[in-house]
Order: sequence, then C-alpha cells, then structure tokens
Amino acid sequence: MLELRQVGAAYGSSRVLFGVDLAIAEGEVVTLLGRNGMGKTTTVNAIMGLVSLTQGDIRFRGTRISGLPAYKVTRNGLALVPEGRQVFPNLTVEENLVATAANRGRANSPWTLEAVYGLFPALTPLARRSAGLLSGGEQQMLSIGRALMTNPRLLILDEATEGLAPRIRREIWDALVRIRERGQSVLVIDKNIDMLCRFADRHHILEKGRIVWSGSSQDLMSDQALRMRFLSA
Amino acid sequence: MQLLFVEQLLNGVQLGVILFLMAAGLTLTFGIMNLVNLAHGSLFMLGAYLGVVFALVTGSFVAGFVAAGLATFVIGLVLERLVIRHLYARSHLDQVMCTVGLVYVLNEATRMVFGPEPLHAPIPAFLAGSVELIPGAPYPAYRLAMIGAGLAIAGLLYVLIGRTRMGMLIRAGASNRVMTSVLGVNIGAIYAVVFGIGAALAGFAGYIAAPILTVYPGMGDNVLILALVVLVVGGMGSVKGAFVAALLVGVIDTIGRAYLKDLMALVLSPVAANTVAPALASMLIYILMAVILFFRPQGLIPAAGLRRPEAPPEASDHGPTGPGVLARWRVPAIGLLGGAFLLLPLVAGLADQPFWVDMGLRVIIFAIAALSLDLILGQTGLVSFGHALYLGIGAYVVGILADAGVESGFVQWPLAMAISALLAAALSMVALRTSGTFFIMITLAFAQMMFYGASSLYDYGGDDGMHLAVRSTFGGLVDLYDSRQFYYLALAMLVVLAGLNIRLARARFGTVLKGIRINERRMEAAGFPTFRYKLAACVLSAAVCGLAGAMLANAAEFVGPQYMDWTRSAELMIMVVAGGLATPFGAIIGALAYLGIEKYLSDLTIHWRLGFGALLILLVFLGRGGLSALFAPGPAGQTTPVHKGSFRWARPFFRPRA
Amino acid sequence: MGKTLLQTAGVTRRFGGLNAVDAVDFELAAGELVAVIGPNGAGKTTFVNLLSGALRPDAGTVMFEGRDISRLPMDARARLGIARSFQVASIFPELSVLDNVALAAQAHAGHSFHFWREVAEEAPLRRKAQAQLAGLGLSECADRPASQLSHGEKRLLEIAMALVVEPRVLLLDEPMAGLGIAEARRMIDFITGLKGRFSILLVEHDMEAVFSLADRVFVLASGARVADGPPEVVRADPRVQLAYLGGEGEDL
Repeated sequence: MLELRQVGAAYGSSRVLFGVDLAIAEGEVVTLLGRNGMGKTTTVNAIMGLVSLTQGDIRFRGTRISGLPAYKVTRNGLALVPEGRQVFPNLTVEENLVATAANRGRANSPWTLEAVYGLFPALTPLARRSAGLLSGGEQQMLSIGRALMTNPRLLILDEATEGLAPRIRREIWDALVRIRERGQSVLVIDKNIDMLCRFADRHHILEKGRIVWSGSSQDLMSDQALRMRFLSA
Repeated sequence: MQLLFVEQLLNGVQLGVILFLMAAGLTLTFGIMNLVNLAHGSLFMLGAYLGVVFALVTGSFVAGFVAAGLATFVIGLVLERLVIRHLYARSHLDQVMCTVGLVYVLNEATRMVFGPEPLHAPIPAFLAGSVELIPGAPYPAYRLAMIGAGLAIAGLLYVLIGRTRMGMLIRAGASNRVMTSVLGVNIGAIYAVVFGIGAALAGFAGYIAAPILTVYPGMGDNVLILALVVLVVGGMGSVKGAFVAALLVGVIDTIGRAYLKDLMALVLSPVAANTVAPALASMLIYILMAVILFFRPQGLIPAAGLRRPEAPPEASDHGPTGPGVLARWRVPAIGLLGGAFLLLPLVAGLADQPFWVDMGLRVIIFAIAALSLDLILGQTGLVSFGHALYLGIGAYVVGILADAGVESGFVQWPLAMAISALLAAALSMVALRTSGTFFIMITLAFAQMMFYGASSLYDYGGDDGMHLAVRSTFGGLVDLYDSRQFYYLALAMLVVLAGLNIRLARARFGTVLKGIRINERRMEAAGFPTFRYKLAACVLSAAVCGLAGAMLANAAEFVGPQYMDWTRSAELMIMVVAGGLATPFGAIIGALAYLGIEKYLSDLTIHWRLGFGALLILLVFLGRGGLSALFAPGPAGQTTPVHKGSFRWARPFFRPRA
Repeated sequence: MGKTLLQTAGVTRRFGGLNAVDAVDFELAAGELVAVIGPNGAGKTTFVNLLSGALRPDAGTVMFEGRDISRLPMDARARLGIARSFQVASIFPELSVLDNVALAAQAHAGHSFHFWREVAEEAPLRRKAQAQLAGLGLSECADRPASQLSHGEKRLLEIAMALVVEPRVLLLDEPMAGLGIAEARRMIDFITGLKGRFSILLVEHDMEAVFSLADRVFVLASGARVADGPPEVVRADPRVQLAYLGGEGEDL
C-alpha cells in the first residue's frame, strides 16, 4: 500500500534521512523504532508532504505522493496523529472531530462521531468544551479521533502515548487495539517496545537516517543484543 | 437633552456597525493569514462606487446592495490571486508597502473611471422618512436600517464562523495552518475565500454608508484607520473583539464629539473649553487605544488559540549580500551625487531656473526625514508607520512660535526637535510595548491622532493649516529668504546628519540596534535591555525628523495637518525602502528618486498615482534592497578588503588582522 | 558541591488550562552539572524559560544567590550571570562569527549608548571574542558570516556567545538536537570541559550523553518533578522508567 524508495530528506543544511526503504501492506500494523534524533518523525513528515525529499520517491496505492502538497497527500487516504497532539485549541472537541471529517477509504463501515465517542467515552461529556482546556491524555484521544474521522486507509501515529500518565496510556493502547481489530492499517512510532510487540506485525529500526533492521515481533523480542544496540532497551 | 443623547448613542452604534464590518475583514485576514492589508479601505470605496452606480442604473437600492457585496467579493478574489497571495510569506513591511501600492492603484483607477467629483448616493425612498423610537425624538429611518443591516451581517458572520464547517476550518487554519492542511484541507483556497469575504464585508459597509458619507476616491482611507484602531483595541484576529471594540469606538467617538465641550466647560473657562474640546474629542479614541494598550498589550479580547511561533529573523528586507551590478561605479556615483547637490544652485543660476533650487531643497529636507526614519525602520527593524507625525510637529512648533512672535531659528529649531523628542518618548513608551503588526498600527494611529488634533487647532487654521508668518531668523548669519543660503544650510545639515548616522551605525549604539533588528530575543538573552535602546532610537529619530519639519515649514512657508497625513508617512517609508534600508545613502537616494519620479510622472499625467502604485508593487517583488543594492559592494567579511574608507556598514565590526 | 546558586520554589507556569510547569522545586549548586530530562511536552523548555526570564512564573519563585529574581526580565538576569542557549540555535546570521561573539561581550561591558567611537576599535571586546572562538576551535571561521556555518558550528557559536561574558550559570536547551554523531561527540567533549567551571543546567534527550555528563539528573513529567538524584539512582528509579521510558508491567 505505502512504499518508500531510497527516501532522503533534510532540514536546511542538516540532512536527516539517507535513503529510507519501507513498505506497508494493506491491513498491516507496522512500527518505526529507533532512538531520538534518528529520523522517525522526519520519515513521517516526508510521507505526509511536510518536508521535501532530497532523493527517492514515495508511492501510496500506486500513486506517487512525494512532491504533492500535504493536503493532496492526505486526500489519498492517509491521516497523521502528530507528535505533540496538535489539536485545534480554539475549537470545541466536537468541532475538532467534525471540521476535517471525510471518507477517504472506508466505504462500508466509516468512522462516525458515535464510533469515535464509543472508542473514547471520556470525550463524550467534553464535546462542547474547547480543546485547549483538555488534559494531555484527552487531547491525545481527540487527536486520534480527529484522524480517524477522515477514515484513512493508513493511520500514522507519532508518539501517541508519550508523556502521559500510565493509566491514560493504557486506555490509548486499548483503543489502538480496537482500531486494529477493525482492520485499520497503522504505522506507529512509540518507545514502548513491549506494547508494540503485542500490537504490531512488523518492525523497522531507524538508525542515522537509514532502516538498519526489519523483522517480526518474535525476532525483535528474542534479540536482546539488537534491542540494546539500537533502542537502548 | 436625554432625547438628544439617545440619538447620539444611535449614531455611535451606527458608526460602530460600519467599523465592525471593516474591522471584521481585517481581523480575519490578519488572524488567519497574518497579513496586514491596508488596501481594505479601497475595497470599502469600491463597494460604495460599484453599489451606488448599480443602484442608480437599475433603480433598485437592494440590487445595489447585492452588487456591492458580489463585486467586492470577486475583486477580493482577484486581488488575492494576483497580489495578496504572494505576500503571506513576506515581512510585514513588504505587506504594508505593497498594499499601499494597491491603495494608490485602486483609488486612482476609481478617479479615472468615475471622475474626481463626489458621487451622490440617494437614500432610497422606502427609507427616506424618520422613525420615532422614543416619542418626540424622530430618528432617520435610513440610519436605523444601517444599524439593522450591519447587525444582520454581523449575525450572519457569527453563524458562518461559529456554526458552519467552513467557519470551523477558518478557525482551525488560524490556530494551526500546517495541521489543517495535514488533515486534507486546501488552506490556500480557505485563504482566498476568507479574503473574499473580508472584501465583501468592506464592500457592504461602503455601500450602506454611502448615502451619509461623501462617495469620492480615497473615502475608505479614514475609515480604514478607524478600523485599525478597532482592530488594535479589540485584539488582532478576534472577531468578537472587533465587534465589542467597534461599538466602543463608534459610541465613544460620537458621544465625545457631542458632549466633550459641555463637560469641559464645567471645569474650564468657556473659551478654553471651546479651544481644547474639539481637538480632544477627535483624539479621544486614540487616547482610549493608548490606555487600553498600556494595560492590555494584546487588546481587549485577544483571539483564542493564536499562539504564533516567534517570527524568524527577517534578513529579507535588507537586500542581497552579493555585489550590485553597478558596484564598480559606487565611488563615482557617490561623488556625482555629492557634486550635483553641491553645484545645483550654481547650475540653476546659469540655466536661469531658480525653481530647481527649491526642488533641491525639498529633496534635502525629505532626505533628512527619511534618514531619521531609517534609524528605526532600517537599522532597528521597527516598522513605524507614523513618522510624518514628527514632520508635522516640527512644522507646527515653528508656525506657532512665529505666530507668537518668536522668530529666532536658534529657539524654534531646537525646540522643534525637543518637543518631537518628548512626544516620541511618550508615544513610544506605549507603542514599544507591542511588536510586529501591532506596532505598525499603533504608530499609524498615533500619527492620525495628532493629525486630527492639529486639524482642530482652529486658531492655527484648522484643517486648512496656515501661512507661516515669517521664516526663521538666525541673527543675520543666514537669511532663509535667500533660497541659496537656505539650500546650503539644509545641505550642510544633511551632510552632518548623514555623517553622524554613519558613525552611529558603526558605534556600539548602532550595533545594538542592528542586533535587535536581526534577533531581539538573542539580544535580551545576551543581557541588552533592548527596550531602552529602542526607545532611544525612536526619540533620536523623532528629534531629527522634527528638525526636518521645522525646515519644511520654512521652505513651504506653510504649516498644516497635511504634513502628518498617513500618506506622508507612507511616502517616507517608500523613500527609505526604495533607497535601501540601513544603507548610508539609501535615504538620500530614496528621497531623490521618490520626488523625482513624482515630479516626472505628475508632469506627465494627472493620474500619476496609478503608475506610481504599480511601481511600488513592483518594488516589493523585484527591488530587493532598494536602489542602493545596485551599488552594493561584495558581501561582508568575505571578499571585500575592508578599509576605513569603506562606505558599507555591513562590513564586520572587527577588521581581520592585516 | 558548592553552595546553591540558582533555586526555584514551587515555580508554576500555566498555558491555557494546562500547567506546563507545576510547582517545581529545583536547586543548582555552584560548579554542578544537572541534566533535566523528561518526555516531550514535559515542560523542560518552559522550565528553562522560567529560569532565564523569557517567561515569568504564575506562582512560585526563582532565586539567584538567595535573591528573588522571579520578576526580572531576561536581560537583567543575563547581566546577573545567567546565560542560555536556545533549542533552535539563536545567533545573528547576518553578522560575522566574530561579531556575534563580540556583540554578546558588549552586553557585559558597560552601556552601549556610544554613538561615535567605532566598535571595530574596541580592542578588549575583540580580544575576548577571539579568545572564546579559539577555545571552541572556531577561529578559522571568525570572519565568515554566521549564516554560513554548519548546524553544529552554529550551536557551538551560540555557546561561545553565552560563555564570552563569563556567566555564573549556563542553561543549555538541547545543545545536541539535530547534530550528527561526530558533531554531538564534539559537543559532549566540549561540555565535559566546562564541567566544574560553570554551573550548568542541561536539557537533553540523548540519554547516553545525560548519564555520562551529569552530576545529578532531574526528571520532569507533565510539568512536575518525578525524580531528582545521581544518574545511577535515577536510572533505576521505577517511577522514571514508568514516566519516561514507557515502562514494563503495563498490561492490556
């Protein structure tokens, strides 16, 4: 479904990606792992059209999406839950969900307001509250809900559980599992390897702007040295 | 008395409604696109013209109403596509310059099409009468209808922004542009529509206000400035704030004009009240603005969710770093310029064209004024849009003193500088509490405040200004009635000031200003109390401009509020930018070029402003670094051997060891 | 360790309804290097801003040598000797490298209301700046415009600008962010060289760097202090594991 070929990217003069190859199949849940500063978020930004490529290209369902402006990339059926949540603080919770809602890939059972509130019951009583007044965890739920409301073919989660209290994090993991159960393809970036191994099909490790390892959850769990070397875990 | 009060209150609300329609468009474009659009007043004017003409042709007032909105919406979309779109990523200075260019073009085009005579907009028959809201107090039905229509449009806008999907996207875009587009929204299209809506609101406002205002080219400019005050008071980017502030400003302005005299008569003698009250009444809302800003620099109701990242240091306005195409002609060009200034009276004498000396004098005076503006605009990076204020203050000091019998220039001129400096100190204390767009608008509003204040000095000619009784005397040393002596005095001052300016720029003070311009936050982190230095720059700059004003009063033998008009401030700004920001001779070249082109174009056609506006827009898009850039030597610290005689400031403060 | 130099008591800063920094007590002793770590959005940069004066606290106090400086603006605190670097290198790109440093030195060399004498002739400023650049290995690029430096060199330049005024306290906000491996190594070596000479607060993501450099590690999460102690103790602290590293023992 999504295919990155030899993708390179830079911010001004500092190069971050040096030829990333990555493929995600329909219905798959894939992770992007690596220490801070190794290019995970940049990879996501490159996919979403937020940083221009210095080399390589990106295809989504056969269409070349590299070089397109962000809004056109998204319309092919991608949705991002960005690092730092980035909800619209001056809109209410419900407006955040509704404003950019669309159906970009789920013709038969699309995500609706009810479905999102069902996934995150905590948001229901907050529907009319300004998103800027929510707690971090609530904002994270909202950010995920907002992305789901565009009914993407591929959902990308960048550090969706970072900086949250353990209880909230568990709620979010629960929700992610349920999202997965609905057949959603997901690309996820996170630090919690234990959880990721239970959640995802395949893993990729980024090191210095390149994919240095790919494999299944079993491979990752069994290789202590690998985890120590690239993930300090 | 009470009935009259109700009537005045309604008048205030009616003004407020018009202001809201104007300010709503401005606040939306600012809040969402971060754009300062000074051409908004021209859209007001276009709405009035196009609507009224359409109404006259069709005979239907309502058809005119629809046409005004539709036409300005379309014009807005076209302007956005052709010009405005390219300004979003530019500095606020570029935005100001370019939209001022648009004002010139649109106003002049209107004058060409519809003629200079005011257009009469009839009140439709069905609204011609009056209504007795309170028994015994008839109020014109049309004005009531204006309030109604304005509130209705405000209500529609509220629903559009607060209740519709489009409105949500507009608000989302305002708070996080990138995230909005990542969610699949074409933010460019949203921008275009928002600009169109803003234009249509201005168009509506112009049309409904037409029957009670005079419809003439440039009618929107004064309304624009009031709307800017509303914007600043209400909080930029906030529609709700604009609504509250518009009503506040409308009511206070109207009530102040009606009752201030009576109120002041309670505490002052009738004569004093008669003199002070009109001036104070017309300055009232600006004073209100200053007070509100002092306590709430973000305005009454700051827009929610607008937390902008700090603007990156703007290097863009200050020209390319590469050498100019005429770099090798730099020294000859400067010599030629100096020689021309020096020999002008002689040549004029030989050619028997005494008029040339007067022209030259004018160029010198404006060069001094532009030089003073460059200190804050170019060197410090403070976009002051009200600098002509001090030109006027200097002129009025001379005029008023001359009128009082104090004729000595040794008293007049230093006093002109001192009073300008004092005023600048007071106003800058408020203005410098803000930054960016707010600063632009506040300096503009302060200048406008003094403009109205001066217009109300009825003892000194009011609107019309006054003839200067006698030119300044210098104890027989210099006779200003001898145009050559005056010319050389002014030239000497220019040379001294330009020289001082070059030294200043290379001294500690200048380097601090430069540091503030490039990266103010870093300057603070390094330990510079930047406010103090900015204040000093503003005060110094005002003093020099006050001197230019004193000379201008003498040269023109006239003193009037025209000197402080906002277009005059724009002219000074254009001179500095056209000549080259923060360059040693940019202000002088700019003044020469501006006045030269003005003279040339205005001899050519009465519609010279059209071409001039177009030139201005081109300057913004093509003229990086101004005329000085043509002669700029190589980039700093790299290829040019830096020596003491170098004319360029951009060289390193420290010379490499030989 | 020496006596306490910089201290906060219950310092709090709110943005909207969120407490970005929530009642934090913190101490920095003379000559100490404290690393502040925490997940994204934990309030680290806000905390640095509160210490440097870029932000004023909504509650609580910031003390410097026992004096309450909570209300002092950034420039006044800088003159007291609190220097900082920014998360995104903040320099004067249009000026030469040397001028960048000299301008920083100028801030601490009396007032700058000099209108006549050229700064180019102020030898003491120039000497100071050159010495500082030499110490950082940036002498060769002294006359180049700062905009032409590499990313890592810009970071070093920013630190040179902070150091040239001989500060008492150095606040470094992610100095390694965006650096390549070699450049990060250079930066770590350099900061190691500063240890003991200045009191340093280091905000950093790179755990290797943090645990090798710091005398003490201070952990923030959701604006509040989670742990504060020697690196090995903090590393083993289960609360830190939970807050920062995502922790084990979380079940579905």
